[in-house]
Parts: sequence; structure tokens; C-alpha cells
Amino acid sequence: MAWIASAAAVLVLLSQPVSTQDQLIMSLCAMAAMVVLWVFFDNQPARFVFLALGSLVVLRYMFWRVTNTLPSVGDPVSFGFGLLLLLGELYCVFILFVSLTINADPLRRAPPPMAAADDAEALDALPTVDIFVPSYNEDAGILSVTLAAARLIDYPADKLTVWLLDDGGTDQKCADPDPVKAQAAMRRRMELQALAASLGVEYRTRARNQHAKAGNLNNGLKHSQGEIVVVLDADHVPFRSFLRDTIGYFAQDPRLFLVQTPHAFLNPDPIERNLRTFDRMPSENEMFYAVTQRGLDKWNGSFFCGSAALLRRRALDEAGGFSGVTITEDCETAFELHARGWNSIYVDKPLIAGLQPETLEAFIGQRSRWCQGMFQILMLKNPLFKRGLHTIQKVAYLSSMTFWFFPVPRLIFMFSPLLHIFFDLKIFVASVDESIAYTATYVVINLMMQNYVYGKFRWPFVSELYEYVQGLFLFRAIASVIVSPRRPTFNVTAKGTTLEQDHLSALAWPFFAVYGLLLLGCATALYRYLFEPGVTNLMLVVGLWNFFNLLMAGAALGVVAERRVTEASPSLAINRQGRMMLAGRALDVAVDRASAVGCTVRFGADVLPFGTGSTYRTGQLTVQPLDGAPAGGVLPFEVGTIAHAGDDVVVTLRFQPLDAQGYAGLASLMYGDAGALLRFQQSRRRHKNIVSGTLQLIWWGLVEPFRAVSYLFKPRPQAAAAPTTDTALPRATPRAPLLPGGSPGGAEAARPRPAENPLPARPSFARSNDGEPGTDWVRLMLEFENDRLLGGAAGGGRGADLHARS
Amino acid sequence: MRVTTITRGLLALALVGGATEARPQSFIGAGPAERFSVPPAGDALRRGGEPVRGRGPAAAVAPTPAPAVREGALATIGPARRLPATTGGFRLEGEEDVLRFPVYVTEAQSRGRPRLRVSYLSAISVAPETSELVASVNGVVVGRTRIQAPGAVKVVEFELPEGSLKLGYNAIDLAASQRHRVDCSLNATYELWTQIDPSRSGLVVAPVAAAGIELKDLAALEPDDGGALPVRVVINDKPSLPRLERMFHAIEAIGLVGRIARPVVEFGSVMTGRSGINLIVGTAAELRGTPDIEAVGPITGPKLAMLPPREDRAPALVVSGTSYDEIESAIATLARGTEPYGTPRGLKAAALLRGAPLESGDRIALHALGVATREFSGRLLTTRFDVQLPPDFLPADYGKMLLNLSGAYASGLASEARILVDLNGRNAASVPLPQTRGEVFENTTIPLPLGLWRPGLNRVEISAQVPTPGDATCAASTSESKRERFLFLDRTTLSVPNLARAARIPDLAATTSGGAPFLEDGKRPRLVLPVLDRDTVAAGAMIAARLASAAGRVIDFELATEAQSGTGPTLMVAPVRAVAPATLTGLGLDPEQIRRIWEARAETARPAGQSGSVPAPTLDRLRRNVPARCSLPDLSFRVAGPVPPRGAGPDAPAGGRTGRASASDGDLVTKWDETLRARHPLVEAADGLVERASATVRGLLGETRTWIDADASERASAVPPRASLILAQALSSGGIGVDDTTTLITAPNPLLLKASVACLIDPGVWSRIGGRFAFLDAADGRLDTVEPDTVRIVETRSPSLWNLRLVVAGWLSMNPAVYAALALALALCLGLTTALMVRNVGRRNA
Repeated sequence: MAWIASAAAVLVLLSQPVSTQDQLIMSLCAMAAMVVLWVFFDNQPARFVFLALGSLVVLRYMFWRVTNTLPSVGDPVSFGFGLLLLLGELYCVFILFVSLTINADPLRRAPPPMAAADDAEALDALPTVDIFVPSYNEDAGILSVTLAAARLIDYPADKLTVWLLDDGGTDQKCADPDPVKAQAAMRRRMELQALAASLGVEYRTRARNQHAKAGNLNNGLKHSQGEIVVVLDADHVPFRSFLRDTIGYFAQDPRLFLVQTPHAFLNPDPIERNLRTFDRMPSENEMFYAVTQRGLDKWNGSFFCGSAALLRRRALDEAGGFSGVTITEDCETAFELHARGWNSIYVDKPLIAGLQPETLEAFIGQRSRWCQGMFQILMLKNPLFKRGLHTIQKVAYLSSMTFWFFPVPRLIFMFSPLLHIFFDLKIFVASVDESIAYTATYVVINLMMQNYVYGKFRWPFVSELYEYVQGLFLFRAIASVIVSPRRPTFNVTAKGTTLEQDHLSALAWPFFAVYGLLLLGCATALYRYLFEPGVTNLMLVVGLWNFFNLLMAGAALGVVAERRVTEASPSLAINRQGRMMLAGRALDVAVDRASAVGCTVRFGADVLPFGTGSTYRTGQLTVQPLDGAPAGGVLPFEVGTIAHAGDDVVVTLRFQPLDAQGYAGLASLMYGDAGALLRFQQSRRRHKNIVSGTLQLIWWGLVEPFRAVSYLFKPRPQAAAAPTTDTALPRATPRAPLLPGGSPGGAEAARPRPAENPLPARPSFARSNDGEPGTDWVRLMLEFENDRLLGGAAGGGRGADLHARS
Repeated sequence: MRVTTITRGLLALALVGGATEARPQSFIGAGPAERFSVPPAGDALRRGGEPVRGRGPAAAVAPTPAPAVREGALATIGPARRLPATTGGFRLEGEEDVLRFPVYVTEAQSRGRPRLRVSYLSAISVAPETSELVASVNGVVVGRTRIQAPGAVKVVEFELPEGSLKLGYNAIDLAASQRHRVDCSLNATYELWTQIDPSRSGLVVAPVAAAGIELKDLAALEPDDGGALPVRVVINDKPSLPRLERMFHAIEAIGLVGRIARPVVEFGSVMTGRSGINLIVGTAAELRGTPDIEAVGPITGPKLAMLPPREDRAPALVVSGTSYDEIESAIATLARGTEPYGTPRGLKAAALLRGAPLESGDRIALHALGVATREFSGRLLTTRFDVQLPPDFLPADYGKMLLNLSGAYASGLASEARILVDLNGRNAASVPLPQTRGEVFENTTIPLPLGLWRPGLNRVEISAQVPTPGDATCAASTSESKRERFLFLDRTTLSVPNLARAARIPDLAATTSGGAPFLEDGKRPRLVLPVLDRDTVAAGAMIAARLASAAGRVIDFELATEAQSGTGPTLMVAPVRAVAPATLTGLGLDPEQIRRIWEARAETARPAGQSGSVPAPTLDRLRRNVPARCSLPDLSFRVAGPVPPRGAGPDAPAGGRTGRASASDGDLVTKWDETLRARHPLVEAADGLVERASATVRGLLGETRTWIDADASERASAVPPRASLILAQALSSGGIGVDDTTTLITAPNPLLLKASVACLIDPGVWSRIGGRFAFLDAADGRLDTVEPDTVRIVETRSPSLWNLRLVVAGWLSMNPAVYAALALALALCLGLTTALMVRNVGRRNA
């Protein structure tokens, strides 16, 4: 094949040990050609030529790096460290090429055929659907919105059943030896049964919490009959069009077992919040969902991410239900079914809206579990030796699993320069000429390639920042899972920390330590370079590398300096029409933003009833349904702030406690139009070039350490270390402004605070950039043993030990 | 051990009765004497001009003494068995230096109480109190003397202990430790030199002839004043071409078996005197009538015989047989030689004369190269050694030799302390010595790019520059000046990567240092001598013998009088009149320009007296380190017009690598530049890269122009007006392999040809030849070389993938533009085919 011939020719050419000058000229020419392609061409062949040019330089660098730059074996210390650094780089290049392979041609899918509402025959042919909402400890408030929205999904009512699969009210839990826990579990079961009844949802629990989420879902499978199973996490609220945009694919392909949709989030993760990038930078997981899953889809390799997906029961039955060997049952399930010849597809359209973990601790805990789970699969069911998978599928799974090895090279890169600065080790043998011709061009080309492929979804250096922030902790998680792959142990997500004030995360000290070390390294390098005779420009180069690491560590300090949460409940910009009953009058209003606790409406200032906010404090909002949806319930509200914007007046409304109808109304308001979320995501997807990305990193690196240090002097919030908060009852929540930035007029400050927040801060689920499934459901693995640990850790003052215990 | 200092002939000193440094000295007692002053004149010179390495304070040199007086002076010094010329030359430079001579003595010579005589002249800057010349024989020190001869040649003799000389090769080492009188700086060390006068140095032993000489003693033949071995080919009449061919082969064989770096060949009647050898070659029939030929007995088959020397005859070697084929087999026997005798050190020194042979993948410790572990208390320690790479090694930057340096340096060195590695006179690496507290280092790897090496002999110089801050003021105490600063360990190794094996044409360096392309297993190489006069033939024979000794085996030259294409690699040695203009044009030379320049010299008359004699070693020549044989016969120039100053005007060789004198200047300037430069090294590195990149771009543009100009061959290169000899090499038009190379050596007339060739084969000059053209000014040994614009790479061995890969890498390294273009083109292909492939596999995009 022509491709094999040209690839072979390239490899032959690249393995030529040509001169440094050749390399420099080739790299510069390649760079120039890439810029030309980037600027003037925008088509598929140009994309591949661009990547081929970049690969040329990268491969050439690696060839040189492997053959020419290792220290002599005669110096075992330098050689050892040099080899380590080289392995780290090799890993990065491996990941680069694997991801380029997978993302060769991300698939864009046409929407599936959908039966018209008046075509009775077509409607008849639609499969029956069971929606599973597994829950462990989420409170009723969250579940109400999710279940209500699930009920509102546009689908023939007789073919749709919603199941609340409760694992927090199992018989086992209700019989807990601790009477307080047992009572809480029983109360939860009763309350959720009532909730389910009022929302028209089936409630099911089971005897024992075996096999965690997989066990819970399998229990659901056992008691239901729908041809298609939808899995929704408790806080993943589906939009009304969820099934309309997905179910049609099952009719097209009888061997289709999975339709996965992206996980999109309404609130920032800790990094986004603390660096204030939520409104302008694409979320970390968008790269995974908008590029990688589409890329995987091309190779029939997109996999189940635990939620927001449709699965065919026949396929699940064939495989014996959801797999539960590892703690990432979702990926494992998809893995097994792919191996059995079933197909999967991915729909790149956000159809659910979820919540991110609020605190860094929760975030790290979540990532540790994903990381451990993926390593479990890698070690217990290595995709390379899995029969039934296509080669490319093996590569795809391998890439998703080996991706989680990133903490190791990231830390190697962080600390390598210090070896030279402090101990004069030479672990990278190269002249200045060579460093410029090979390393410098490689670094630039690598940045260009990443920016070219992911530019709209990932700012430069943000991947590195995420990797570093997680790396310090995941390092140990990896070690523990490698030591005993069958027995990953769980950390417990810290709970009870409040985010009502700025404070340093409990995880901050390692970051300060690393920062201090790197700062010392920078100072030493500078001192030695300036004053120590005989210290060469090598020190300068290494010092610059260390300075880059220092900037990264500085930005990370900004991440651990937790800003208070400014929004009571995450809101979404929507654009809906509604009718407001206030002061006995009906006003047609536009609803701008909505959250679980309130919304902002806009209408002409001339119709604003006199006395609004004082005389007339409460009213009701009815939302005009979209495209054929049933009229939602009435939302009772209390008037919040009133602001004038030109001829219009913008009023914030706080919802009064909602009943079942009210939740249906809220779901219809907030989750009626999936386009709202997509529009929000699109607004952030602007290409960030390398220069501005670098400047951004430098800014963070310089400024954020000062903020972190200033937080040192703020009181640490008391951790309400109470594991018994595993309850279905809504907790009293911190007072916070209702709606942030989206409201015009900046009137929030004067706004009275809501007494209660039905969506308290809590950990949730997200997807990482390169694609690993994960789930809060690993918590279900906390059986008795872990409950004991939890109690112990609570006594220790901190909610939990972050690191995996062995 | 007794040291005898002989100052015979030094009239002034004889009168005073003892030498003191403040006394004026002069070589012959006549002529103006030099005076020392403190600070010495050399100091002022150094500040004023650039410091010149390898050149003394030439400005302060006394005028050349009158020859008549010199003759008298020479006569007063008894004869000695002189030292052979080696690539190391006869100059001890810098603070520490060693010259090593393998000297073969016969059984008879090794007996008795021999003495070692050393005559030397030293730079004015050398401080006698702290400078010492140490002579050792086979590793045993036999004498030391203060170096104290700034104004005149001083002769010292060391008595050797009984039995220190053994039959066969003995290693004679002359080591100098020199310190500057007033200046302790690093740069001042470049002013330090001691020149050995080869004409008056050697072993004072009985002449080799005394006890008769046997075939196995060929290596004991004594060199002449200049360290060259005179070979007199005895002829009575004009020999036939086949006989001449055998003579050439026999000369080659003598050079080989005697390990002669410098055979000076003449044709004529029997030679007398102590040094050299007469060579009698011919079939029995041809030799009939030759005097004394009966002594060898009847010639019935291949015959090799030595005729013992007599009063009127130096030893003679008879190579004969009943037919030319038998002569050929006698020559083969001669060339095979016998197992060499000698002391271990002597044998090693002899073996290293041609440099240690290195092959792909070799790793050799420096002690195997004759380098010794040294502790050093000065500022600049230079260690030199020679290695021999395969003659078809392709030099380009596709790999690196690795020098794994072991040693140590003391604390308190100045920050500019570093180690420099020079290859063939070009700087290849510079490694700082960074630790202020000193360091013992083991296996510090210094990469030496293959592009700086060349086929055949390569000279490697490792210089440790270890100044201390105290050097600047020269105020350091004695103890400080005695403190060891640097340790060089002989377990330092040199590792050879895989070498690409292919011939580069043109490349005179490959020819002169390794005998390429005449060694290839193809057609017989052809030595073309269009005119067969004595001088031309002698020049041809010298070249053949020198090439054979570079190649390490007899080159089976086929003699011819005219060039024919397709007959094998051709070497043409001829006066320029005998060279067809087309040949010159084909080599890229402009016949018209050569005619213009050489018009005046074409009519040189043979001077009275023996031509080819060694010019008298004047002080001036010694100071300037002019190779011994490099002087032209006194010529009466018919000045044809104003001669433009060297290096100026359009006649200067364009883009050429400069010759030795300016090359070493260039080195110094570079070194000075490096020390003075205040620019940041990173900026510098980036600058260097940019420079090279832009040079490549210019080259690329040039190439395109050449392509556009289609068939226009390379521009004819201008010959410098003072050149007395031209070497040129090219692939004949339409040629494809090594068999089609033509190498031309030409001069204005036969006499100049012979004289210039005699200079050319001086090891010091010979080793600098390279490029596409080399222009020699035989009056002072100055050599200009011109690098080729493009080279052809020709396969020399059966094709193997592995070698092909390296050759291609080498070629691409020489042509970065092609590499870049190829890479981009392949990336384009890969990108497009990937696009095509991706479209057809996996799921289709909507």
C-alpha cells in the first residue's frame, strides 16, 4: 500500500544519522511549511501533511535522543537518571503518536432518523426504554430534578420507564449495626419511595451492596424488560431531546450495543474555578468528548463512560450484564462487548448536564479512582492480548489506559533539572548546537502539533498543569495498583468542607513544598550561573527549564488556593419564554438564566408592577414549552433583585420549595433545550494560540503564588467530619449569591440570600481529556471495611486520606 | 651519567670559555649577534602582533650567515646517525612537548658507548632556569639540559649507558619542559619552542656501513641532514619503461620496509657518503656491466642482495632476476620484509609512524597510541597522537568519534580552564573544566564529529588549558608554580563509530594520507610520466614511494607516458608543458592562467652543483620551522610583471582552506577570539547555527544556479602566483568510479618539479594536503588548499545495506538542502497517502 511505502521511506530517511546542521535546516523548513499549511490550507489532506511534517521532527528527535544523548554507562548514576528521563520522553511520544492515530479523522455523525410524531407505525417500532438512575447517597433534591427531567424526555410514554436504583437504602444498610446509620438509611428509603411515587418513577433497592454500581445496575436489569437501557448518574440531568438524538441508531445497526453522549458540566471544576477560566476556557473533558471520543468512534472504539449512554439489553445479557471486576465497570463493560463483536457509536452533542466535584480533594479522589480502575483493566485484561478486538481497537483501549501513566513522566520532567542544578549530574548529553537543532525545534513543533489538533479545546500548557496537579497524588495511586492490581483500595472523598470562604486546600502543602524546591533550584541555578566560575551555558538552559517548571508549580499553587463558590447552584444561560404571575397580572417574560434554585427574567420596564419586591414578593412562573413538550408545572417564586438594563428590567427570582409538578416545571425550564448547553460550550471554544497560552501560563505562574501565600493567613474552614452525612436529606447549605455574572447590572451583591440550597456542593463526575470513564459509583465499593476506615479517618480531623491505602 | 656540552665552532663562546644567557651568541660567530633584554624583545612583539604558534620571534632574527663560514662550522661537528623525519617534525612547542623518533641501529652500532647528540635552537622567551630538555632512550632518561639557545644552535651530547641501544628499533624521546621568562599567561605558552636541528643531531655511532649491511638492516639506512632517506637509483642509460616500473616498485618497497616517511629519490650514478642507499634494479642482462655486480653472484632467479658500502659508495641494494616478473617477485619479497627487531618501545614507535590503524567499532586506549600519563604544572598541556583511518572512510557528520577522557584537575583554576581537541589543525571540541574545587574525572565523553576527520592519517591534539588567576600577574610563588594542575591519564580511550566506506572524489587528503584511490581492487593504477627526464622521473618515484608508505603497501603502478581514459586511476607527474591543456581544463584549472604565472619560471636553469641537496639549515629557517627540503634552487627569475601580493586580488584561491601558516594563524585568532569574546555562548551558538544555515541557503542557491547552468563544470580555480607545484584531482568527465580519477602533480619545469616534490613529501607538508587543489610554494613549504564545491561519492566495496545507509547519511550531511527537501517531500507523500488511507478505513465521515 502506498501508505506503507511512504511510511517506510520516512522511517528510512529519519534513521539516517545526518548532521546537526541538516537537522536544524530540516526542522526549520518543516516548521515554516507547517505554518504555511496552518494559515493557508484548511482541509483534510493538509491536516495530514501538517501532522506528517511534525511527526518527522518528533521522530527525528527521538531517534537522536535514543542513539546519541544517553550518558555513558560508565557513570551509572547519570545513566540511570538519563534513562529515566528518556523513558519519560518516550512515553510522551508514544502517547502523542497513539493519540494522533486515534484522532486521525474524528467522526462527524449525521443525526439519526427519528419517527415523526404523527407516524404511528414508526412510533410503534420504537424500542422500549428503561432509564436507570442509580444512586448511593445523593439527596432527594438532586434526584428530583434528574428524575423529573428523565420523565420529561421526549419519547412515547408507554415505552419509557424510569427507575431509581437506590443503593443507599438497601436492606444491608437499613440493618446497619450502627443505629444512627441504620435509621438514616431507612429514612432515605422511605423518602425516596415517596419521591418516586410522586414523580411516576419506579423505585428499586436490593438486599446487599454487592459489586457496587455494576451490581446495582445488574439488579435493575433483572427487574426490567426494556430493549434499550439508559444509564444516568444521579446528578446527570438529561435534556428533553436525549432519546430523540440517539435512539434511532439502534434501528440502523442490530449489533450496536452502545450510544454514548458527552458529559457536560454546569459548574467549574476546582482548577477552572480557582484560576477563573470557566467562562473562557473549554473544560478539561471537552478535549476528550469533542475530539478523542469522535476519533475513537471512527475506529468503532468509543466506549461507555458510566452515564449518559444507551445500551442494548441483548448485548448486556450476552455478556452477563455490567462487568464488575474492576472499579471502572463502564469501560470494562464496553471493552468486553467490543471483544464480542458488538459496535459502539458516539454522538457528539451534549444531552445531559452534570456537576463537577467542587473541592480539589474530591477532584483528586475522583481522578485517583479512574486512574486505578484503568490500570486494573490494563493489568487484569490487557487489551493487547484480548481476543476479538481489532488492532485499532486494541490501540484505542491501550491509549486510554496507558494515558493514566502521565504522573510519572510529569514528575520526572519536574524534578530532572534539579539533578543538574544541585548535583551537577549530566543526564542529557548534547552540545548547545544540538540542543537548539533537536530539542528546541522538537519542543516548538510538539506545541504546534498539539495546538493544531486540540487548539480549540485545550489551551497550551493546560494539559501539563492538570497533569502536574493530579500527578503529585496519582503517583502513589499508580504504585499501589501496580503492586496489587486486584485489590485497589479506596480513599474516601473528603466531605463536609465548606466552600463559603477562600481557603487553602488541605492538599496544598506538597504543592508549596515543590514550589519551594523549584524556587530554590532557580535561585541556585542563577547564582551558580552568575558567580560560580566554570559553570556553563548548560546551566542556563537547565535553569530555564526549571523556571518553566516553577511557573507550572506557581499556577498549581493558584489551583490549591481554593476560591469560595460564588454561585449557590450552577446556572445555565437559556433563552426561553414564560409567563409570570405577579401582583395579579400576567407578564410575558424572557428567561435568561436558570439554576435549580432560581432564574433571571427580563421584560419591558414599563410593565413592571409597582411595588414589586416590597408589596408583591411572591408569584408564579409558567414556562412556555418547546417543540411539543407538555406544559410544565408552575414554579412558585419569591422576587429577588431588580435591575434595569436599558428599556428592560431584569429580575431575579428565587424558587420556593417545589413539589413534583414544580420539579417538572424546573426540568422543563432548565433542561428543555439542549442547545443552551452547546451554545455555552461553543462560546468557550475559541482557538488559543501558543503565544497567548504561554503568556497566560507566565501570568499564572507569577501571580498565583502570591494569592496562595495570602490564603496561608486565612483560617482553614472546619471540616465537618461526619460520615453520617451519608443521608438523603438535604443539608443546610452555605449562603451564596444566587446567580453570578450572568445577571446584568451587577445587582447580586444587594440580593438577599436564599435560605436553602437544594444543590449543595458535592463531588460529581467528569471525564478527563483523554478519555477515561469514571464514576462516583466507586463509592459503592465502600462496604463494611471502608465504612470502618471512614470512621477512623474522620477521627483524624481530615475527612479522608487522599492516598490509596494498602 | 655525564652530559657533555659541545659548543664547538662557537667562536665567541670559545673565547669567553663558558656560556651565559646574557652573552651574545651566534651560530657561526660572524654576523650581528642578538641581544637579550628584559623584557625581551619577544614580549613587545607579542603584544604588538598576534601571537604565532609554530613561529618564533622571526622579526628578531639575525641575517642568514654566509655559506662559506657555515661550511667550516659544519665540518667541525662529527658525523652522526641522524634522526628520521616524522609527522611530528622537529619542533618542541609549548610548555611540554615530546618528539619521538624510532631509530633502527644495527648490532654493531648498538655496541660500545654510543652518544646521543642533540642540536637545538630555542625561542627567545624560553627561560633557561625553568626549562629543560630531557632525552631518553627506550624510556630511560639519558640526559637533561637547560634549554638555553636563543641566539644560536647549541649542541649537546648525552652519553648513553652501555647496552641501552638494542638491535633494531629504539625509541628516542626528546622532551622539552619550557616556561616563559616573564609572562605566565596562557597565550605566552604559544611563544615557547625549541627547534631540533636535524642535520646536527643523532646517535653518535659507527656508520651503518662499518660492519657491513644485510638485507634485514634496510631500516638502519641513515637519513640525511633533513631526516630524509636519499635513494639513488643507479642508471647508466635511459631505462626502458618496464624496467623503470620495477625501479618504482623497488623504491616503494624500500620506503615500506624501512618505514621511511621521506624517500628522496634521484637517478644517476652511484652515490657516495654515509646516508642513503643506492638502488640497482634490472634484469641480469640489463645489469651486465654495472660495477661490482659480480659480487651478488649469478642471477638465476629473483634476487635481492646488498652490496656493502665502500669509500666511494653508499650501500647498494640489487634487485634483479632473469625477467621482469622475477624482479617483481624479488620486490614482493623485499616489501614483505622480515620480522622487525627492536625494543618494545622502539617497535611501538616505529609502528605508530603511520598512526594507529582504526576501524569501525574500535575502541583504543591512548597508551596504545604512545601517549603517556602525565602530571602537569603549567598552563597548556598538549597531547598529540596520530591515527590512521581507512583510506575509503567517508568523512561527514553522520557520527562521532568519542574521546572518553580520564584525568583530573586541581582546584583554583581560572574559569576559562578547558580542554580543547583539535583534529588536523581544526578545533573540534571545547570542554570547560567547571569545578572550582577540582575534579577527578573518568570517561568524560567528548564527541568529535566525523566530518572533521579524513581518510588516512589524522593528527589529534588534546590541549588542556589550565591557567590560574595568579597567572595573570605572574606573581605566584615558586611553590604555586610547582603545583600540579592537571593529570592526563593514558587510559583515556577513543571509540570509533561505524564508518561509512566510500571514496570521495576529489579528495587529495585521502590520496596522500591513505593512498586512495590507487588501492582499489579494480584496474591497475597508472602513473603517467609524459616526459622521461631524470628529474620528472625522480619526482614521480618520490610520489610513488610516499604514496606506498602512506598506503602501507606497494602500489602496483603501471608506468605510462600518456594518459588514456578508462585505464584505471591515473596519477600524472609532469612539468606543466607536458600536460595537455585539455587535461588541465578537465581538472578545473585554467591553462592560460598557469602559463601566465609560470612563464617566468619555465626556463629555470639547473644551478651549479648537486641539485636536490639539503639547503643549509640557517637560523632563520630553523626559527621559522621551514621543512628541511623546502627550498628552491637559486633561480634567476625572469620577472614577467608585478606579482600581486599573496592572498590579494582575484588570483587568491577562492573559498580555499588556507595553508599551514595561515591555518595556524587562523587557529590562534580563533583561540584569541574565544578568549576575548565577551558575547554570550548561547548567542554565539545561535549565531553559529544561523551562519551555517544561511551558508547552506547560499549553497542551495548556488546549487540551483549550477543546475540551471546545466553542464558548466566548476569554475576554474585560480592558482596563487607563488605556487611552485600544483596538485589537482578530479573525476574525468563521464567517469563514474574510482578508476576514472585523475590526479595531477605539476610544476613549471622538471627541476622545480623535483625540488617541489622533495618538499611536498616532507611529513609536515604532506599531512596538510587536502581538498581538490593543493598549491605548494616549495620555497618555504607553504601550502594552500582548495576544497571542492561538489564531491562525487564512489562506491569502494561490495554494496551492503548497512554501509549504504551510512554513505547516504554522509552524503545527506554534506547536502542539507537535499535532505530537507527530501524530508518535506516524503512528509507530503506520507500526509497525502495517510489522508487517502484514513478515508478508506474505519467509519466514513458524514
